[in-house]
Amino acid sequence: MAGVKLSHVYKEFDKGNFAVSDFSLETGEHEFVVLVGPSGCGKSTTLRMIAGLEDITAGEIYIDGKLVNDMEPKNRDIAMVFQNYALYPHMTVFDNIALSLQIRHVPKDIIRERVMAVAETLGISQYLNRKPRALSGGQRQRVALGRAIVRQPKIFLLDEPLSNLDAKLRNQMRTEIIKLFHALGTTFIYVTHDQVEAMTMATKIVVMSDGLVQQIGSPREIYHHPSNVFTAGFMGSPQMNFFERCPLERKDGQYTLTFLGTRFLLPQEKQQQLSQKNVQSGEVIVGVRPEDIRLATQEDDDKVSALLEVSEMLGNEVLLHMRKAQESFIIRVPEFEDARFSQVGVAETTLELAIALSKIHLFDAETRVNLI
Amino acid sequence: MSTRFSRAKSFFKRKDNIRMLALLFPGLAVIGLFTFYPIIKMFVMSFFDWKIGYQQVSQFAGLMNYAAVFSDKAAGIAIANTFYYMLLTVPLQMIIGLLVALMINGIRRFTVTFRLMYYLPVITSWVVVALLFRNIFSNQGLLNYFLMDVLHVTNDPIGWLSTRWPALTATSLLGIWKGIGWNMVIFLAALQAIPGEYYEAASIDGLNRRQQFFRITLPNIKGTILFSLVMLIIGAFNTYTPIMVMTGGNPAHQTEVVLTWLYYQTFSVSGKMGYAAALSFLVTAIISVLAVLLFKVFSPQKEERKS
Repeated sequence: MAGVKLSHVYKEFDKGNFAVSDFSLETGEHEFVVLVGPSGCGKSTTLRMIAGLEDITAGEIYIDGKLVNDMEPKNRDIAMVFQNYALYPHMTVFDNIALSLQIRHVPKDIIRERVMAVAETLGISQYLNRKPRALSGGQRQRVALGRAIVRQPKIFLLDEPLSNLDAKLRNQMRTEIIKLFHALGTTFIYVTHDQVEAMTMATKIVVMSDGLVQQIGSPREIYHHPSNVFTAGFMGSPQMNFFERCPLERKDGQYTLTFLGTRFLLPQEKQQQLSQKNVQSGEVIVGVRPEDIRLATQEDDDKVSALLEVSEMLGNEVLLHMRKAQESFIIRVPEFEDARFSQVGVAETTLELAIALSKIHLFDAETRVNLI
Repeated sequence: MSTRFSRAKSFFKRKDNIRMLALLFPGLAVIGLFTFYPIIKMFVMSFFDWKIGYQQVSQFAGLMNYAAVFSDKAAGIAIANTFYYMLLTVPLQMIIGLLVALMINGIRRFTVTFRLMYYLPVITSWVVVALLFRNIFSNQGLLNYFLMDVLHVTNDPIGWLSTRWPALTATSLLGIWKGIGWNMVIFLAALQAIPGEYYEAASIDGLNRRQQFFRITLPNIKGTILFSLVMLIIGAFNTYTPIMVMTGGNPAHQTEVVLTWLYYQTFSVSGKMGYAAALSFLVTAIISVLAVLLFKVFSPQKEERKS
């Protein structure tokens, strides 16, 4: 019921300069939507249009089935958490949280009750009489969340709420926001540039770039079936390895692919998918995630040998920076596999690698769209 | 003694400290010579029948000068007039200045033009604009011309500048008109320092424009309001030129303010140095008390303790 629907929404700042183009999205009533993309991709603008802080140039926005294009922010039944918290510095924590209720003339004892309950949930009960400047970043973040929750709105909008926190606190708050999402049972729309936040929190991810939606899907879909080179490269860390201009040949109904100086016969599943789409011979971009390349064993057929340049020990795993001819790429291997890679600076060794061909991605060299 | 001496020795041993003193000296010397020394001297003078003539002896007068001030009706009128000027100019300058700042802050184009236009009166000469205002309010002035020859409201010129309250109101109008620009600049700077996010959060929280002004804007420019208030009150007590040019304190010292009365007593006729010093000291005391009271009322520490 209480979902958000955007239909062909545009935002034009200056003449011909579109921050958001043709944005369409429909959410369920209990959904955690994450808008993710690099800075300037239009994700914050989209959120602000939903909040009513920005006018929309064209299109329609519906909240809970009602057209809200010209509705004041206060009438949209939304709450928003800002990146810099935007707590009122001259008010106590209590008043910061209570203000929206005071404005709506909610009886004092009910306000008190609700603020106390929210403060209890967020663990800020002992700070209610303090001013925001007497709080740490994490506590301020909780107050900002409290201010949003106390209204019991239909939709929560969160604009990079964790980006001002240190790494440890960010992980902790991430979990708490997920818990809140389950406890409140409403729709969250969350903007971030951090793909880890997107992957861990979202039930639905919207990947954006240059004001355009690149892909909408569950974290799993986005990760395993990226619709284009941008999404494939943006989601996942370290990012997917791309090999440009690799010849894909179709001969006698069999697809072969040449990259990293090796000619591979593609596995059965890929063959079927490619022939279903009637993909012709040509140059493609090959994408391989670092974890889909491993150190080769005796049994492996198509081995690729490459030069190890740098190894980065991460604890449970090691990132190996490899080079073959002009191509450099990264692979991710478990730490225990070879004790040699645990040392920093073991370089200039040649390694035999095996590629999980069933997991590679093929993109059109021109349109950069996934071929499968 | 020895510890204090060694402490002083170690203070001067540090190169930074010597440099600090060297840098502070010119400023301290100027302030000392032209501010602190005259204040102390004035305080001393207020207890003497002070003479400035060659080989004249200044007789110790005790509290005679203060008694003279308190029994002087004209001094009472001057102080009352100063308060009238202050009570009229300070709030109106601030309110109009804030309104103008709010309007300029709300527009996107021509902000520089408007700022310049409102600031022009501030940088024009007091004497020049006071003369202009005298020409508006004098018997043959612009205002009477409009009332008599254009609107035909009256047949005889109205003596705006020759009656106490109208004359003071006319000078106050000059003070307000000339002060709006300064307030506008100060308040505009304060308004622009308020992050826009507060207003966005407020509009989502459901505050309308009026509520945003009283709940967000005003509390966030409280410090600026206090600053402006103190500066303007001190400025109002220092008003001199508008009165001097527009009325000269006439008729019969009915429109004198503190400074014009001091000047008259000291230099124009009687050379009553001690009397003027005593009155000056009293005015200083009044301003100090007002400033301390204002800081007490506005002080953020007090609020913190309350909560």
